Amino acid sequence: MAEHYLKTELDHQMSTNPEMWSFVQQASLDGVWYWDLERPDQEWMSPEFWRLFGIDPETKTHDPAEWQDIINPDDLKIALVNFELHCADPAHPYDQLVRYKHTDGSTIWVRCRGRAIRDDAGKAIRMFGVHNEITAVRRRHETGRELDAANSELRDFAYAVSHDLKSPVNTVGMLLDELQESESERLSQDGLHLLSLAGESIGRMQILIDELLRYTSIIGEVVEFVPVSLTELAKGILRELEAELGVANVVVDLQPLPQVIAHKEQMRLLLSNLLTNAIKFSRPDCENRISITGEIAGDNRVVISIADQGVGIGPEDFEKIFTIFTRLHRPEQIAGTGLGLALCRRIVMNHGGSITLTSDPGVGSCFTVGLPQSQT
Amino acid sequence: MTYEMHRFIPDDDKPAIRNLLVVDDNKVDQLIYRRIIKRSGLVGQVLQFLSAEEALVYLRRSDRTLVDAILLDINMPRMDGFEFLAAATEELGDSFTRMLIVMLTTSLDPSDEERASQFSVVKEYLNKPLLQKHLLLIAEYLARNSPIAAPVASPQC
Repeated sequence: MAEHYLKTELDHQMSTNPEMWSFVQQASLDGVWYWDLERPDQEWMSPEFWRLFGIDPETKTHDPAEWQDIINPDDLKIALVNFELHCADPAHPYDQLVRYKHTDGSTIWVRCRGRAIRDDAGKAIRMFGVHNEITAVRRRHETGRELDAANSELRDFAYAVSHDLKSPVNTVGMLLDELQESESERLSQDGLHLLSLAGESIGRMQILIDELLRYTSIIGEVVEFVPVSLTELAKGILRELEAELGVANVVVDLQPLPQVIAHKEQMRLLLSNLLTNAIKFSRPDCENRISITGEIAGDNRVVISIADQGVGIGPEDFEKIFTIFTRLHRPEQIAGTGLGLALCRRIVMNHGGSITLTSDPGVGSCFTVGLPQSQT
Repeated sequence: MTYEMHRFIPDDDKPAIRNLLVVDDNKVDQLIYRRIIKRSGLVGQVLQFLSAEEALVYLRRSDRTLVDAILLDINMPRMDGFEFLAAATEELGDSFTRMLIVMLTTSLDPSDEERASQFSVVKEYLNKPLLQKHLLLIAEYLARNSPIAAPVASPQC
């Protein structure tokens, strides 16, 4: 097949018009070098080569010894090995990441690639090389890795701590139960009262530790996204909450919800927390209605709303309620650990989405979750 | 003494759980287990071990009585519950007890349950604290899987 006429034309331009090469070099490279292997003390380095490291090209001669003391010695070793292998076999690429020291003391990461030019016998007589700076990419990569490591360490730490807290709390819980079981007949009214308060406190602590474990287990978790039927999830959660719904005198109106691409267990936690929350803050004196609705918004987001007719929240507290360990009520008034909505927010963040709240004190609240659906 | 033994119901009265082993390094927990076990009226005798190694030494003995069930803690110093399961299964096969119940501190780490489920001797999991209903569960399992009631495998198949 004949070559496209523009390709033929471009090849001609490249070989005859020096402007073309200048353009390629400046637009896409951060320095080039050309080395005479027959006279190894001769290597031409472009001005850009030196400027990348903060060096005035005028101060440098065209001798490879000039850059020997600013390249990382370990990286130089790798480059030399690749050089030997490439000279012996053209199929072995001369291509590696090397670190140079900038005059300001910082490290410059360079991808250094080269190609030997050979004589008729196949012997390498010249070497042409190009530099690409990738410092920013490396830095992002390292920051990301450090962040992942820090997240993972934090998760392990929090998990171990909460796990170790759980054992003594369990033990004290059992001790109190035993005391109640075997000594309650001999205790005074006052003693029984104190014992039941101790039991309640331990119960709260057990719940707190469980929630803490749940919260820490999803910090920076690598999530596997699958299609999730929110309607099915919501139905399952409502079945589990049947008793609570009855006690709080709550009727739930569940509209059909769209399917989402998400982490299933996290979606279950999210819906379950928002529903438990809506039930918890229902008004004791009348029937309460919770509406669960969902739609696919124009910008390919799934939007889920959970609206209640509960006690409501003042706008000054909108931000507070999502903060970890922040509670607006004393535990004797309304049970809770201050972790539920913080968990919800983290789950939504894991999915790149948003959670917002509108509320009128005395009228009710509505939590709205938006989840981007790039894959659908 | 490497373990504590307590007899609650004589064998003649056919207790639902004749011989129960409990392996847990927490002394206070063991004390409470004993009271709960005694109160249940389901257990003939209980042997309590504060370490997995000591339980393993007991299980190796040829003169020991049949073990109906073992309640096994996971987080223990030196040999933990998983290491115990691996060592006991490798050395003694699956028949060192009729059933084994893993006691988990929290239900929130599915990887613990997953690891334990790889041992076929593990029949149940329970989340601490130990309750009467857990002992009932064990008694029911043993009754369902009674060695006398079990059908004898026909040699043809």
